[in-house]
Amino acid sequence: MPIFSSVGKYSILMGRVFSRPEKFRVYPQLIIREMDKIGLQSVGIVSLLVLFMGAVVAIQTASNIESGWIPRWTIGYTTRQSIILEFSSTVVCLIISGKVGSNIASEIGTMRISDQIDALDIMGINSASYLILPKIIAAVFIIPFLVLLAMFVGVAGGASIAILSGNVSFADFEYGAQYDFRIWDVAYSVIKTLFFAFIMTSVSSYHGYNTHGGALEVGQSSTRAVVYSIVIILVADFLLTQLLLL
Amino acid sequence: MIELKGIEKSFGDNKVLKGVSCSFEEGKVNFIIGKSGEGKTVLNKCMVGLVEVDAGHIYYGNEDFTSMDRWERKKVRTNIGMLFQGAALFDSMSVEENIQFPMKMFTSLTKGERDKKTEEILEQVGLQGKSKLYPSELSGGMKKRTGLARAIALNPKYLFVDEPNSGLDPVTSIMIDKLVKQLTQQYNMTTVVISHDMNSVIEIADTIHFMSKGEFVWSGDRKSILTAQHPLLNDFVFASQFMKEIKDKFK
Repeated sequence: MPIFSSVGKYSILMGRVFSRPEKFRVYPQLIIREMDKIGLQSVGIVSLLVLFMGAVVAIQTASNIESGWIPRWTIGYTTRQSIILEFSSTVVCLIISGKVGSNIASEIGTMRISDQIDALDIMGINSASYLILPKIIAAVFIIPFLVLLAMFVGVAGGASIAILSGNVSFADFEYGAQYDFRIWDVAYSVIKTLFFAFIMTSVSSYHGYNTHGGALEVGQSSTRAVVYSIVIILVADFLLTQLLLL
Repeated sequence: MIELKGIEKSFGDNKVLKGVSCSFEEGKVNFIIGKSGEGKTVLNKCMVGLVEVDAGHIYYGNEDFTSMDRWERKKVRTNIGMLFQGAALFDSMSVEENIQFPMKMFTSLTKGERDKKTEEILEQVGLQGKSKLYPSELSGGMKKRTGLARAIALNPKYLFVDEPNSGLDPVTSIMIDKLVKQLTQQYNMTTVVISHDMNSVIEIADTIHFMSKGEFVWSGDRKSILTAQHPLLNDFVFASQFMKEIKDKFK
């Protein structure tokens, strides 16, 4: 079964990634560079995305409240819960998977087909650790901050649209956004993000590292990296939600 | 010196190397020649440990490379330099950073010492003033010279060169050939060149091993290759009309 073969190869690769690196001293610089590429360069797209998601959730909630028995502050409450529990973590990570995953797979894949990885190996450098470990550490560290930013921007976007469109007053939205707030919901979202960050970087790196052939295969690896990352993130989302919320 | 004893390698049912044995001498440019698909590159990858052999032994000096673990191999690998067919320079690094990379990873040289050594190496390969350029800004010949500079950065004992002249014009090819020869003598390296470029062979080869169907079927030097009576070798060496005319004149 190819899936078992892939899981085996992935496990062996991760074993190499987390084995003792050649020189610890060079890693901080690599990690900081990856944090910039993975995290800081995604701030714009993440902010834009959650801003509109928050706005759409607020409008949809407002348009679905027909009964007079349901208070208007529900708009703030629903927006906050949707953004914090699911949109800021899962949807944002899916989007980052598309951007960062394809970038990682094509970068490592190009290095593979142009013999740069072989050059590292011949020098006696653990190429898997040197190339992949900084990406994993950087993503696991920086993506939770992106998610926290997304929570803030998403709720702010929802508030802006809901208030400006006259669907709810600022006081009502504020009341709803604070109603029954549990810090655990934020923690749950951040915990999920740690797993998602690991999945998107390691799976994309795996596909890039195992690229063989030429430019066509790099493109295929890049596509596979995104598709597999997204599917595995969705499965992990389901399992983590079961474990953490129920 | 590098010694191969009975190297065998198969991929599925396809037996690529069939008991290859030979030795590559120190301070000499040793060529492995042969048609495409005869096993030269696989043998090269086996020698540097990128592909594991199925049977046989590879000795670097007196050390059996094939029976070493990862950490033992790492020590040997610091004595190996390799120039790849496409140079395999790290795209995200400048010429200077490419050359300094092995120094950074394996030595405790200060930045000043690394810069000084880089200057010396750049001068040796004729790339003075190009240290800040990136691989995308280099010509094919400059990439090869940068690759060579990186390969010799740690003063290796063994140098592997894969198709040094592919994609280069004749003048640049001869320049790269001469550079390989000069560095081999200067550092007293055991140099192994994988090639099917007869101009290179005639220009700089000290010893030549001709590979056919996963075996060395002829070994000799650049003088004897022109008079050898081996039919497969003759087909390879005198494949072009030009070489046939040279052969006739040589006779």
